[in-house]
Amino acid sequence: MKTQNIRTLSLILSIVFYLLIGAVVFDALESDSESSRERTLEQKLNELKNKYDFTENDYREIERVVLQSEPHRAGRQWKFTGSFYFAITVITTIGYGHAAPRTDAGKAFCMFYAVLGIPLTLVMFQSLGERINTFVRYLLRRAKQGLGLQKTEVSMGNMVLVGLLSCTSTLCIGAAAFSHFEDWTFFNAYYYCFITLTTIGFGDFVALQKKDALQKRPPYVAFSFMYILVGLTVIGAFLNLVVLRFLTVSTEEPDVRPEAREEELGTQPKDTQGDREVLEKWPSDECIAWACHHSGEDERKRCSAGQKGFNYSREAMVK
Amino acid sequence: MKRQNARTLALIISILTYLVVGAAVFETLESKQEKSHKRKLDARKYELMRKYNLTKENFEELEHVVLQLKPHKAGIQWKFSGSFYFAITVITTIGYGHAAPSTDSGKVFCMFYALLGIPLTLVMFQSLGERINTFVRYLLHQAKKCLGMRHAEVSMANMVTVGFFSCMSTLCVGAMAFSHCEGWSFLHAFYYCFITLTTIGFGDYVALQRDDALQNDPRYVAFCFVYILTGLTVVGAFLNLVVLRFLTMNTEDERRDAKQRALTSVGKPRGEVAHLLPISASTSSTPVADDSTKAKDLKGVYTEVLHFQTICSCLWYRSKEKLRGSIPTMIPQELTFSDAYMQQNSNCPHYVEPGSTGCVCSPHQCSSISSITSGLHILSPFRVFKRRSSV
Repeated sequence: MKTQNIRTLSLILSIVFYLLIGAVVFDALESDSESSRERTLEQKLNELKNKYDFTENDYREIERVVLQSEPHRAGRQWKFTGSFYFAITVITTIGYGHAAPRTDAGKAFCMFYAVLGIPLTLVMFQSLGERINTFVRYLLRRAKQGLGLQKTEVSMGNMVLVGLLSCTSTLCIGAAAFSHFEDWTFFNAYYYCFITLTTIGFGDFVALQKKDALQKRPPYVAFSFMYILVGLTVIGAFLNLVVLRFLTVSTEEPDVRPEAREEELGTQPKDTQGDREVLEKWPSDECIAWACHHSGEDERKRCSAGQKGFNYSREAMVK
Repeated sequence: MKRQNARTLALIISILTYLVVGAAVFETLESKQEKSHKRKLDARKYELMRKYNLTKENFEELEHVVLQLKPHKAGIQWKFSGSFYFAITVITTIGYGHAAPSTDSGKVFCMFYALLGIPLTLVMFQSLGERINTFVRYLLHQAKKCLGMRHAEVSMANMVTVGFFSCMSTLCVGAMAFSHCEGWSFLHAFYYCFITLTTIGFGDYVALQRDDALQNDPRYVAFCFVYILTGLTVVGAFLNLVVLRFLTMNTEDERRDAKQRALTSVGKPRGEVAHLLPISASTSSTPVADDSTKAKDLKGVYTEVLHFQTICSCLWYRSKEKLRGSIPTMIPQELTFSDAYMQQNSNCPHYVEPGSTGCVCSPHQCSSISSITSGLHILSPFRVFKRRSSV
């Protein structure tokens, strides 16, 4: 079977397996707590129902009013600040749901807004992340030179380490800030930052929902927006460093089996179009490094010089 | 300013503008309705409070209980099917929030689970999406051949059209199914599918929350899970086709710049620079044969080039194509020169075992290369990137 097909199949199987494991563990961790909490709450509810003697319809009314009032209680969600917050949650795909468009026009606009906004945002974060990585690589090289180290090339390991440290400190700074401003525990604030910056965005914890912060505390609002966008950039830079290459792997690799080559050569039309197609199927510059690695010593020396400063591409192939 | 920096700056400004415009539009669409809705709810609330003689504290207590009961009312959320549903919302980053871990250990496990799961899922969807695109490309190619069309190549536009239609039909199929099973209007169900498959996942509409479906309706549960995962694959394939190339733009440019720098370094000792063209961009028009020493140097370089070329002929031309975008003045001269050399060595003596380099190289391709090089035009950078997805 082709390499790409094997890879894809194993990835699918891993994900299914991963989901199964996750389901089992979450069940084990949360199920008991859920049933006991439900029991307690039902009991409390029945007490209250008996105390006030609600009719069935009236209780349903109360329930509806309470549930629908929830976003309103947190403040005006759709003034400019709130809408800006909402727009951020749409194009970054965080999607807390603390406020969601109620009008049909709002829902329709939201969909069109997302269709253009999400790819634009993805490209922006990756673009900025790559710039940051290049800059960090430059700084590290300068630092290594400054420290008088023998080998001043910045390895992938260095970059990954710096990336991990940045991500962790971003999370910790956010946790410290939000635990102070939102009155959450440090752990819950950390959990909030993590869920936000991975764009999962459950909405169980949402910033700017207390004490009408959206209207009354503009510096804190500005901080929250900045934090989300900067945090996503840091995470994006780390993903650009570590994950992006794996997203483009299948698209680039040639099929190196002898049989496949025979197929390709055999079915080439005699015109230039076919040649062009074959050319286009051939690998990217990664192959230079790969080829150099697998050719003789001479070639490797020659090639590594041309790849100055781009060790990561070689390492990507040698993985 | 460097191209990458200009690009990044332009993108940042676009995003900020986009956010401001979006905020203004959402405010116009939703703010008035919000005010009137709140007023109505408050009025109703006071009516009920008056009817049952509730104090503010009483009502708040009631409120608290009702809000906490909300997920429980929707069904048991953490038994196996519910947990599986939750796990899906985590690793796909949809994150409805209809159920969120309440225990601390649940939260901790959730974070670690996401840490590994999200990249794995991203890679899986892109991998599968690429396979699907390749298969679709093959099918379209066969279809075009069968229809007896002259140009049987599958263009990017063909692929984008097919991709777009797949996405739309996925959304419509989901909208029909969910509007039927959940009792939503078609628009709301479509909105739900859209918000889910873009992984935004507000949680204002969530499937499997009615009539204890998670426990009582395993077939519908299975359908939902399959729908979400398949839908994300279709959307992922479309993103792989259209967006992925833009995510690597800056990296590509950096690589091209570095190669350009390596190529334009002249006379550096071995081990410092790849032995490729020493021609700088400024000296472009003098015919090589006029200057004998220059010709000798160039001949030496071209021997190197050919040697390097035969290690991986494909790469040489791919590199050339990329350089083409940034150093157009270099091309005409080296092109004809290289053609001359190719014709001399038309039997391509340095055939390398493909297995050792992982590259495809054969005499057949070498002889046809000259016809290609003279035929290919200077490509813009954008078109160079198009080649990545082998359309």
